[in-house]
Amino acid sequence: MISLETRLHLGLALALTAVIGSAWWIGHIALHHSSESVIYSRLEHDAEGLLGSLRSGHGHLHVAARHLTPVYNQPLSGHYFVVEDDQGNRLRSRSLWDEDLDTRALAPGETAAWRAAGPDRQSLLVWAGGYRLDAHLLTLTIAEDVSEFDTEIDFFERLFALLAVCGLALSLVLQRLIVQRAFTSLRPLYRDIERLEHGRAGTLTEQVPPEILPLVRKFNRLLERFGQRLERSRTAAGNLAHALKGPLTLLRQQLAADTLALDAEQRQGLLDQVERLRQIAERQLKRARLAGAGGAALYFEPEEELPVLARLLKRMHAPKQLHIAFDSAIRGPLAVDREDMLELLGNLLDNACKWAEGEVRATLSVNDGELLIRVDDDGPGCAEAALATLTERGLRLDEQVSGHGLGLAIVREIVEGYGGQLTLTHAPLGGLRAEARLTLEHPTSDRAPRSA
Amino acid sequence: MKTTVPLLAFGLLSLTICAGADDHLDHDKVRQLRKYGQILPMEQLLEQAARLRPGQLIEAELEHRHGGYRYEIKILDADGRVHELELDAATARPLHHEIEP
Repeated sequence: MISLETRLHLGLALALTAVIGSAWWIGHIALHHSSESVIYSRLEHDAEGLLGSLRSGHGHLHVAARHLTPVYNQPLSGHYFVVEDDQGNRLRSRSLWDEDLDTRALAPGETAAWRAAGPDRQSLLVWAGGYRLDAHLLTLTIAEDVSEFDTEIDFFERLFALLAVCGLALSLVLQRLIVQRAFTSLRPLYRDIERLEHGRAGTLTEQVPPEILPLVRKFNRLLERFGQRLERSRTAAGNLAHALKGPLTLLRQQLAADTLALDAEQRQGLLDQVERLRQIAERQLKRARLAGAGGAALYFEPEEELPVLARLLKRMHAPKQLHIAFDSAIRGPLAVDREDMLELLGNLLDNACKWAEGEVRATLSVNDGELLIRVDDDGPGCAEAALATLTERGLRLDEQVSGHGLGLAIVREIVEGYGGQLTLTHAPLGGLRAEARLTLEHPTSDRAPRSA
Repeated sequence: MKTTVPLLAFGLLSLTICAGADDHLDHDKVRQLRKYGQILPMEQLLEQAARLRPGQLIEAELEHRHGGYRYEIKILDADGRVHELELDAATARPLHHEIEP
């Protein structure tokens, strides 16, 4: 597709070329026509003057010399005449010297005009008329050298052409400037699109030229609608999970109570299923809570998110006095899905908070396109053997504190989704250290957000 | 009576053209001589003259002298001076030239 600028240039160039070309052509025609008609009319006057001084006798044509302008006597002066009669007599002006003019025989009253090459590289305008003098038929041919005049006109025409070309070039340059100026007004839009891409903005600016404002408005409306839809589905998922919790607890209680006639195996099987449902509901609920408010597919910005996350976790583990310390050297957004990160960090921190005595420490760093997340706590920690199983299976190690096992399973799922690795070791603080290594993607990768 | 007026005019005309220079040839004779190849075309002669004295031709006369034809031409140069040149009409060779005061 041709760019707008090229199209405008082509259009203007074509229009201007047509206009200037036709102006040049019309000017050329008009200039030549009017100037030549002036010269022809003068030649005609000269011819009439000449006719008045013509005498014929003894089979000869004569012209009274005193009636002649000196230029007709000066050799090769550029002003010539030839008179011919029907008797075959021919009178040349002295100015023709040893040259001659081509003539045409014309009937009385007839006139003709043409251009001819003259002596000494002259360019002649020739005018001829037919007359009747006494009993003789005459043809009078009179010519003038217009080469200087042609040079003059030629010069003006060249000048005009040069000015026209300059004007054309100037117009194109001017148009280019105007177009570029017009396109700079789109720069805020480009900036916003970039920011949108990096998750730093939710909408595009509407400070744009009116021509593209409808497009931008449409786009913004679309973004808004997507955001709303995402928010709605998230809320719906959270609400559903929340609504499920009550009945599930009831179900569990009823199953746990020995009022139902079930054998132990069946009971355990049902309990397991109920527990699974409860975990799923729990997970959805946590997810919805952690996601908070935010645009669609925004990138994760540790600087902004971490303090919020810390406040949230402190509130979630309210009676416990926790100190959550973050050590992050990352500036700007990370090329990972915001919700994935919130879920991952939220789960790791949630676990750490559950087990911690009072101190949780989280470190975030990026090395060679790999994001390292390390969460330490000062809790009781884990036995070496248990750590291995925990990492392998990652589930249900802990039965006393709810959600622990499931949290780790989710973390592992997310980490694997990013082609990463989750390891559990002992923390220097005394408790458990969870380390997640994630491969960062290129920011423009169009990996679909998992939460959508 | 009718024929006397043109006759008189012819007499006057031939008198003006030939006055004082019986060996000057009129332009019809010049054309004839050129046609027979006895003299060079004026154009060629002017090229030679332009080499000697660039300028504009303002007058030319052809004389028959010592069995040959010689051109006496006057050239007006860019400074407004008039130069008179004498050239052999058959060879365009300059005979001598001088500046008219």
